[in-house]
Amino acid sequence: MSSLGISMDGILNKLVEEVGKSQERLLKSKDVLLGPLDTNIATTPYKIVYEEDRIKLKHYPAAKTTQVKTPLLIVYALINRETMLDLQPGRSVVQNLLNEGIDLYMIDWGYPTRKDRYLTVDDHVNGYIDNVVDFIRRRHGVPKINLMGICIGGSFCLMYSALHPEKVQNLITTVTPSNFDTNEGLLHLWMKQIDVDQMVDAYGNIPGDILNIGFLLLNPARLVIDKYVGFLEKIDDRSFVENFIRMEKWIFDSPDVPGETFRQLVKDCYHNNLLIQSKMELGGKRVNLRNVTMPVLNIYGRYDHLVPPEACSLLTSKVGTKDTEDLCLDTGHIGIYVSSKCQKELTPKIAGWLKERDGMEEAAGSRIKKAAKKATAQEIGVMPPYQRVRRRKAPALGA
Amino acid sequence: MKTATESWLTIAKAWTGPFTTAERSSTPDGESEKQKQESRQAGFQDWQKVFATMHTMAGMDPFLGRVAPFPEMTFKMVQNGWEGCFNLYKHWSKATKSSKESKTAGDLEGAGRKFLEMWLGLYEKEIRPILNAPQLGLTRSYQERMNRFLDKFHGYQAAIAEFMQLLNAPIERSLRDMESMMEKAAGQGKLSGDDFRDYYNFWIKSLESDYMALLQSPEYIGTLSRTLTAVQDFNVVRDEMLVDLLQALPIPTNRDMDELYKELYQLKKMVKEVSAKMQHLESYA
Repeated sequence: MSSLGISMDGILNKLVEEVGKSQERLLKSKDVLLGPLDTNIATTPYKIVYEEDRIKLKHYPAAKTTQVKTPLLIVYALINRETMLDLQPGRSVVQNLLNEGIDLYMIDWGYPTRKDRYLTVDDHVNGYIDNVVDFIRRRHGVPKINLMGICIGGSFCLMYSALHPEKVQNLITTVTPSNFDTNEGLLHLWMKQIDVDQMVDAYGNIPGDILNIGFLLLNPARLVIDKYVGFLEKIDDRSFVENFIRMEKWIFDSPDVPGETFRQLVKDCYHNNLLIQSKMELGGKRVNLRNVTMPVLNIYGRYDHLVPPEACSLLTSKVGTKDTEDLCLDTGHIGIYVSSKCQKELTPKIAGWLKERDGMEEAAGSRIKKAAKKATAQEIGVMPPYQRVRRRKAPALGA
Repeated sequence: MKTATESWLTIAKAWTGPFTTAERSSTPDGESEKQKQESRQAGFQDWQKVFATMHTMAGMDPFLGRVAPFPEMTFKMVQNGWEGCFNLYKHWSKATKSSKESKTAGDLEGAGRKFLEMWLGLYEKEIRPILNAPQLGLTRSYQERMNRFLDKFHGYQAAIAEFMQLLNAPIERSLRDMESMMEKAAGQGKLSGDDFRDYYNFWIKSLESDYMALLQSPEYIGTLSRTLTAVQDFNVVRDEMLVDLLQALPIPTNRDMDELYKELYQLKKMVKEVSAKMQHLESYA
């Protein structure tokens, strides 16, 4: 008997048994790890239809007959990459939206380099997003498009919709922080304490690796230890290993964040909570949430530790439309897009909500459409209306 | 002093004597070797004259009187530093001894923290003043940057050590919790060696909850903030050092490039605005 009162024979027998199992698992894992593995992510075919500086616009044509006439633009966050929405066949928000007959565009923010350190939130919202929206409007000959934002990308969409409501048909925000005055997420607690000026001055752009360390520290027990223990336990399961590696590829594919954008987001949002109070300014214009007059669907996760429900739920009461809906799913920040359960809820909800409103527009008849087309021609101004552009690259400096 | 000078010159002569002889014998060009030897001897003689003059100068005594405290000062500095190190070692041995005797991880955590605090105290008192001492001469600014680099590097290492110590605390605490859980279960005869996974699950849950408590605590947030500051401070001085090095090479530094990028950014913005305005005007034409 050991000092703890357990039979030593029992422990040793169990140990031998466990070692035997592990050995068997390791032998199998050799075949799995050294054999061919399909770990590609973002495999849904797309075309790059627009490029400007480091950003690219991906276009995914609808898989079947278009059921939502207004195209949808997805704006991802600046942290990590948009490939998360297309992790693997059968677990892809992109594919599900295409299967719902949605004509889909998605911004790829690329990898900022040191030359991008001076780009502000204004440059992203009133610059890149506005140019992309104009491009899609011209390409489809429509006055407005549907906009969907992910995390901080959702905050960008919110800002954009408040500044350019005439170009947005419907707004969908997913896990989007708008109220930063909460102590409910560790990120919010920590962000309030950081000296952002010193950080940006020291680094230029904020390194993705530093952000990743920060995210790992949100739950070290699960993200640094338990996750990999779980991996070792299923290391002989090819399908599990493939999915695990896909996720690892996405998680640690972290572009740097442009310094001035980070500075402004931390100061205006995390420190002063200006967005939800309609006090934030971009390019000298106030971002008044009352100008968000289009329908708003606000989706967030009940167990989101990065953007807790408290940071999301206030939005619908602050916008200038009564056509709003909040949807709180029983999941976390990433689970909302990748968990099998949420996959069944998220995209059908979005597609249904858009179809409902697309139909409403249709029902209003061609009178509205004609008026809208006329408005588009006047608003765009930059190019002749309805000119279909296959691919346009922004003119290079000095060209 | 004269005696000392003479004895040094004697040693120097004795040292160069065999060398020059050997060199001469192995070199065919005897004439040029002779010239070299003469030149060396002339050099020695010059030094001898300098020392002899110093010995006879009346003003040397007050000079030597002022120089005399320097060894004493150095001795005191070394003594202080040595005492600090000795105290540190004494504390470390005490902590190690008590950790062997103690069964609680809390004692070990405390000992580690105390040791770190003592080292930081010693650094602040004895080492930082030396690094912050004013520098003189042509290389003043380089030396200052080097000292600042060393100081910030220490700050960075200390902050990381403190941060890691804090992060390590929940691991020690959760292991302690698991140990007491096992002891309790053993006391009740409920402990089994059937499934190690149960113990692991208990430990990971306990670790997670300990981390959650720590990560929200003001202590952690303060330490995180100090660590980030120290890392960024170090980053800045490291870059300054690298800029010094790069300046000697035909490579642009980050500082040069940042200026250029800023201009480029402003120009691009201006060009985009002007181009949009022009296209707008063209659409009316």
